[in-house]
Amino acid sequence: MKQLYRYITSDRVLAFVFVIFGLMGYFDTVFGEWRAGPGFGAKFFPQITFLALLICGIIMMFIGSKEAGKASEIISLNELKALLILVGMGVLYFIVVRSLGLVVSSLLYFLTVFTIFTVQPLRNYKMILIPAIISTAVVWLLFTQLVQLLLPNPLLF
Amino acid sequence: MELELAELLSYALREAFTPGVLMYSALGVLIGITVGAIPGLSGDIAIAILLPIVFALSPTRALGMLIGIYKGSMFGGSISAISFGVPGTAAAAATVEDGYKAKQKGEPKRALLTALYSSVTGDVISSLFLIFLALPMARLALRFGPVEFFALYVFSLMIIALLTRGNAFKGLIAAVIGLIFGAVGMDPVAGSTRLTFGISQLRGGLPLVPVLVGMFAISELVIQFKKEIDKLAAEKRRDMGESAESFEAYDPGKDRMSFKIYLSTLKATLIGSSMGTFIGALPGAGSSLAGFVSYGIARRFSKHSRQFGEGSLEGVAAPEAGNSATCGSSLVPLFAFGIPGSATAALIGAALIMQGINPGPRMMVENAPIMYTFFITLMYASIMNLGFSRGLIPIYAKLSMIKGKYLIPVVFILAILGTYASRNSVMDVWVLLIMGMIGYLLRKNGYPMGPLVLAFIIGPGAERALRQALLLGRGNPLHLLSSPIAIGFYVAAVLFIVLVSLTFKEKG
Repeated sequence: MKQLYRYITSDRVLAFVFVIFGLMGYFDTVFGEWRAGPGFGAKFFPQITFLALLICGIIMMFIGSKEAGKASEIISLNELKALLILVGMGVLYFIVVRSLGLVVSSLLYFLTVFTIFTVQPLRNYKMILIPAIISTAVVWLLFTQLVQLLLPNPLLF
Repeated sequence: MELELAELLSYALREAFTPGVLMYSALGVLIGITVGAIPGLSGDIAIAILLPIVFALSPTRALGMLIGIYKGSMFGGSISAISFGVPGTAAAAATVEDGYKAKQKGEPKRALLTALYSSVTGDVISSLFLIFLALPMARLALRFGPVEFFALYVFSLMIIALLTRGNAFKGLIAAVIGLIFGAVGMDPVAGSTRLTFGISQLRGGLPLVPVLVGMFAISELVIQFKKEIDKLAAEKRRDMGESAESFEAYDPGKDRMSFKIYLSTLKATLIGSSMGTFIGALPGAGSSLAGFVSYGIARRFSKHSRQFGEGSLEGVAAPEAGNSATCGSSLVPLFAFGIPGSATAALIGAALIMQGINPGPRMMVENAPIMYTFFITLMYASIMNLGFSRGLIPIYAKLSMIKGKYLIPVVFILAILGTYASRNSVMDVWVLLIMGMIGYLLRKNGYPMGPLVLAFIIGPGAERALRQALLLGRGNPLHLLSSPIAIGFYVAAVLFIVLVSLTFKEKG
C-alpha cells in the first residue's frame, strides 16, 4: 500500500482529472446529441481537443512517475483555505454591493480585511481606517466617475 | 497611394498628440512603472484589470494607455530587482543577478540608469521593428487561405506550449484546456451552440474579460493572499524595508551615470535588443525567456565575462534590453496574423476586440488611422517612459514597498467590479471567480497561464480555418498539406519540437 502511495503524485492526480474530463467530453461528442453542420459538424473540433486532453492526461500519468515521492495533494489545506476565504469574500462583497451600495459595502469590506491583517487592530486603528477610506475613495472615483457602474437601486450609497 | 499615406500620417499625428491620448498614455506609463516595481503585481495584471475600464475609452486612448502600461512595467520590474534583489516582474528575474550586486557594490544609480537606458533602447528598436514589419507581414498574410492559416495556428500553438518555462508538456496541456474553453458557445462555422450545459449566457462563448482577468489576476491574487496569510511576504518586505533604508541613506553624488558608461554597455544592449526582438516575435516565448537568453549571450560575447554575476553593468543592460525589446515585436504576430506573441499581447488583442477591431491582416487596412496613431503613440510612450522613470526612480523604489495586505483586497475588488461593469452581467462575475480558482489550481501545479489564454483566444480562429480547409478539400485531410507555405509551417513546427527535445535532453 505504501508503495502505491509513493506513486500518487500531485501531477498524476491532476492528470487523472484530465483523463476523466477528456473521456467524458470525448464520449459526449461521440454519443451525445450534437447538431449536424457542414463538413464534420460542430462536434469535430471539441472531439479533437477532448481526445488531445485524454492522450495528454495519460502521458502525464506516466511522465509523473519520475517525480514519485512528491506531495500527492494538488492543493494543501492551507491553500484551499486561502482560496476559499478570498473567493468567499469576493462573493459576499458582490452580493452586498448590489444591495447596500458601492461606498458602504466597499468601506465595510476594506475595514474587515485590513482588520484581519493587522496585528493588534485596536492599537493600530489608524493603519486600518486611513487605508480603508483611501481605498474606498479610489473605488468610488473609478467606478462612479470614470466607468459609471450601474448597480440595481442599492439601499444605501 | 502616397497622398493617402500622407493624409493618414497627418491624421495620426494630430490624433496622437491630442491631450486625451497624451494624458492616457502618460497615465499608462506611470501605472506600468508602478505595478512593475511592486513585486507580485505586473503589467499583465494591470492590463487585465483595466480591460473593462478602457472599454469606455476611444480606441486610440485605450491603446495608448495599454501600451504605456506594457512599456512602463518592463522597466518597473528592474527597480525592485536592483534596489532589493526581488524582481518586480518575471521579466526582470535575470536583472537581479548583476543589478542587485551592483547596488551592493555601491552603484545603485548607475545600475538603475543603465537598466533604464538599455530598456528604452531595446524598446525603441523593437517598436521600429513592429512599425516597419507589421504592414508587409499583414500584406503577406492577406494571401493566406484557411489551409495556410491552420498550419500557422498549429505552428504557433506548438511554439507557445513548448517555449513555456518549466515543463513543456504542461504547457501543451494548458494549451489544450484553452482550446476547450474556446470551443464553448457557438460553433464558428454553422452557428450551433455547444458545451454550454444549458446556460443561455454562455451561447456567445465564455466571456473574454472574466476568463483573462480570472486566469491572470485572480489566480495571482490568491497566491499573494496565501503568502500574506503565511506572513512570508511580511518577512520578506521587512527585509526589503531594511534594504530600502540603506538605499535612502546612500549618497548619489559618488555614483554618477555618464554617456561613456552607456557606450560601454552598448554592445550588451544591442545583443539584448536583437535577441529580445527575435524572441518576442515568436508566439508565446515571453519577456522572461528573452531576459535570460540575452544575459547568457551577452556574457558569452563580453570581454569582461568574468565580471558577470559580480555587479557588471553589461549584465544589467543585456536582460533589460532583452525583456523590453519583446514589447513591440510580440505585437507583430498579433497585428499581422491575429496571433498574440505573448500573454500581454493577448490582453492587448482582447482590448482591440472589445473596441470592435479584429486583430489580423485586415486590421491594418480597415483601421489604418487608429493603427498609425498607435504607432506614433508607441514611439512617444518610450520617451515618456524614459522621462518619468528618470525623474521618479526614488519614489517608485518606495512605492514598491507598499504592503500586499493593502494591495490585494483593493486589486481584488477592482477585478470584480471591473468585470461586472464591462457588460453589467452577474454571470461574468461567477465566470471570473471560477476561472480564478481553476487558474490558481493549475498555476499551483506548474501549469502556465500563457498557453491557456493564447489558445483560448486563437482557438475559434483555428477551428474556423481547419473546418473551412477540410470543406474546401471535401473532407480529405491531405488537403491540409496542399500548400507549400502550410508544409513549411508544419516542417518548422516538427523541427522546433526536435530542437526543444534535444535541448532538454542535453540539459537532463
